[in-house]
Amino acid sequence: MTNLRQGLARLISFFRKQHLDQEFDEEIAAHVEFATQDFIRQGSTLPEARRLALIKLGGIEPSKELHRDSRGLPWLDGVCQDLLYAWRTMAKRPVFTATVATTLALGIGASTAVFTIVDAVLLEPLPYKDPSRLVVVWDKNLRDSAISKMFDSFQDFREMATHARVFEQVAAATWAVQERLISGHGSTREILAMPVSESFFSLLGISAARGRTFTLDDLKQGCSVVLSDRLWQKPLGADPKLIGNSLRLDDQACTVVGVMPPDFAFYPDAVALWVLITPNFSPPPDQLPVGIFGRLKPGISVAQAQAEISGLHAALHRDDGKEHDIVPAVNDLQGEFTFLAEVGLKTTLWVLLVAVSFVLLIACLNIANLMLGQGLEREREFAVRSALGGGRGRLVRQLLTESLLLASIGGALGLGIAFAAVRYFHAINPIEMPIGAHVELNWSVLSFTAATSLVTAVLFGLLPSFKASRTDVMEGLRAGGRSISSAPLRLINGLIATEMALSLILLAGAGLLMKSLLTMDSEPLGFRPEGLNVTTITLPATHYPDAARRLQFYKQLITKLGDRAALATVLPPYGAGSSVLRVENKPVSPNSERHDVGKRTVTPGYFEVLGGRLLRGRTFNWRDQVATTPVAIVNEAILNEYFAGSDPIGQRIRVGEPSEKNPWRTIVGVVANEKSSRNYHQIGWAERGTVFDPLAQDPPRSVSIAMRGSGGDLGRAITSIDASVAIGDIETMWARLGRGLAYPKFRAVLLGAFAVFSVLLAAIGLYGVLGQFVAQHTREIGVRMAVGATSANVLQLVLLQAARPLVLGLTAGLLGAGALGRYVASLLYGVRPADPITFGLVSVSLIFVAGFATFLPTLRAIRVDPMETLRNE
Amino acid sequence: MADSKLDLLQGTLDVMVLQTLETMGPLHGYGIARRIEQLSEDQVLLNQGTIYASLVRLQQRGWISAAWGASENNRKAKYYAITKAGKRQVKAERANWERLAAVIGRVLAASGGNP
Repeated sequence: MTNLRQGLARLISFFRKQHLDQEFDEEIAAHVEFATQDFIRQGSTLPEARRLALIKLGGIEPSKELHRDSRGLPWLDGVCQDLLYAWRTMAKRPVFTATVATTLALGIGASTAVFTIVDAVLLEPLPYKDPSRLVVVWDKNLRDSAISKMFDSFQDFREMATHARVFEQVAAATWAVQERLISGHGSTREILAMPVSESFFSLLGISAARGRTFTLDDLKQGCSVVLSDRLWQKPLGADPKLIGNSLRLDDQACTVVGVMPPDFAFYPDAVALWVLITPNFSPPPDQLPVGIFGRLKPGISVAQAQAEISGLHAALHRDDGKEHDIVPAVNDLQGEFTFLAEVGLKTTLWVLLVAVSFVLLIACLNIANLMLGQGLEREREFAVRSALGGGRGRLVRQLLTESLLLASIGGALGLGIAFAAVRYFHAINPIEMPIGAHVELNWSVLSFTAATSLVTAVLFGLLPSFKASRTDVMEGLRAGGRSISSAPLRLINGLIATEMALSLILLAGAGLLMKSLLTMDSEPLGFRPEGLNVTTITLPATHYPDAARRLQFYKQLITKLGDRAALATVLPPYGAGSSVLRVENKPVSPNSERHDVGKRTVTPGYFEVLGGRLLRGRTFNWRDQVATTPVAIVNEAILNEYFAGSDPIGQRIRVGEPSEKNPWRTIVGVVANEKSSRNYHQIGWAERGTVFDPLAQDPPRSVSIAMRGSGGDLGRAITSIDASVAIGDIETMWARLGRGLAYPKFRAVLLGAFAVFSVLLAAIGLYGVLGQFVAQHTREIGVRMAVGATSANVLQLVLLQAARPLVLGLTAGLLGAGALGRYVASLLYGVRPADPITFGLVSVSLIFVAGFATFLPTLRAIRVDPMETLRNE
Repeated sequence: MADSKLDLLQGTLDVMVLQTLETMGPLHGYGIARRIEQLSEDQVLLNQGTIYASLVRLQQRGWISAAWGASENNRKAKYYAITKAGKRQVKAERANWERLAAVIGRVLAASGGNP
């Protein structure tokens, strides 16, 4: 208590310095007067008495000092002094200060911005109850490693819900569904309705904003739905009367039991409402592939859960043969959300974080370098201060204060840059972010920035201060301001070499990503995306109950649009599913059959409109219809894999399981491969085996349209035939392809920017060091030239100086890039992690930039006038 | 002889100042310093300036208060007086001191008795 009181009093005193000093002056004056009078009374003369009084007191100034020290906060006084001094030193060298602050601001700003994303995606917990214990169980195909995440069967869900002891709660949800039509509120629209089990919302621990979520009672009712806030607000006009009443979903009445809060989100983001999976759900639950989501009991690890789930799965599928090719895999939910946003997102973030710390490190090395240079210039200043009694510790403290002040300014500016970067990130929205990841500056980001600033200050401040604290007082004074100690050349060369190496690693990484992007962007796709507009339409089931009616609509549409348009169940670049392909009379054992063939159902004009190439046989025409022979066209990939060496035309195949609607189809043609996106948004393209069948023989309820011509025409043509048809977004094929390029572009651009920035910094560093070298050796060069050295000799001297760190840095950088390459392998396409061309190219660019940095100092060295230098001697 | 003068133990000056103010009533800095010197019969080596550091400490702890006043010959001076908390502190310190002195005395006497 007393201590607190004293501390407070000291703090107050600290701010009332002037007033208290004045008061003490008066008090001490009185004291001296009293003492003087006493001595006079004892018989001294006035001057003698005054002298004795002062001796007795111990001097006025020491007394004042003592008083101040016990009154206020001496350490704070010291800090203020240091800060003031640091500020004056910085103000005296505005260019130096501005350079350092800007470099730091950019480095810290970039780090903070990257960390903001890392924090949002990897560190901040998902916005659900007990997020760390939430997991999702996928089926994993052992036979095809490309299909590592599949929905499970509903039976699996039931089994786990009843028998798994590792779960506190389990729910099923799926997005492997067709879009549904919602009608009765304005125009009919297509929405994504996600079927979920009753426990879904309570598993996540989120309750409805209005109404309620699902209960067990709802299972006995017909169709029940919970709306997303987005759907309820916009198309449904935020009508509170809707809750408890019904809306029409695919011409079925569904009771709205509640509306979720606006910030509730679950994968996929497009979900407009959640529909309860009831026993008489359509499709029947047993045919519904679902994801199994669960909350582990406290203390249960993912590995423990995996063990139990594997056991349950094996027991359940012992008899159906599935146990051999499909196993369940338990994953933490946050990781899966990250994966679902983009398979390489996690790697991307780590790569960017490492890259940005390289940039920051280079910035620090550069500043340390500058400070070392400054340290040489300031040697005399330090010598004077030591001579006046500044201790070694005091000097180090002074220098650290300067670097801390610089780092704080850099950090504050950096925070501003990060704030702007985050705003920009939101504005251009370059990549799809995982569910629940909010990119924003929060406390963890702020502490990251503070910590980064602190670490950088120590990094670039400690080295020069260590050097400065060893300043020899006598040497420093004797040199009279001229720099005496030779620059710690080895140290500086080491710094520059490190900068070069780090820059080269960043350049190489950026080069590899850039090459992947360019490869992906420029590869022929097997179709012509130019001028293509695409959209998806869905026919309402009531108006189009059978195949004949649907076909009639599609034919009408094609007639209206002409041969510029074609329909298909799925358009590239989207893959067309993966099923098993069987060839008639070619038995395949279940163990070697592969589920990797896609199927596109298309209209006759499909290949012409998209620009696909027919290699053999014929394409479809309108004479291929329900009544005629079922036909199919295969692509080259199928030809090579299934018909190597034989003619496929005339042979019969079937994609998927046999059924009345899925007969054997006779192959009538072979087309070139089309490229499609790879699974889980992996970078690059896949050329999958694809089988085409005529739309007329199997008209679906929902199709994609591709058309050369304006999107407006497309929309109008559809509505003019039937306004009740739901039309999805009309976009260009370029836009669709661009989405697939978003992540590769994001990575390449960011890493490229970091690399360019770091190379610039390294070049500036090299330039500074060489400049200093030339300045320090002007006399030597002059003397050499006077005794007959040629320009070539001088050139050699400087170039050798530049070459040493460059060669060292290049070697280390290439080794480093080679070693680190495998960590980015999953982000590359069409280029190996140690691509010699890329490595060669970036090495040459680095040498070129270094050469540029060497040019001016070299010129200055050659132009040294021997007479001038000798005269100055 | 300077050697025979006592160096002040850390913290003892504060106690002496408090004690002086309790027995003498309000005094200015010089008065306190003189009083301590007189009482110790000039045994204590005192830089009178250190008194003021001690006065600041005691003031910050709330054991003494200060006010400007006039001296007997009408010179303006700052007068210090002990507070209630200060009186409590003096009592505690005195008890402490006596106990410590007794212990040290006993220890010294015992070791002095042994050859």
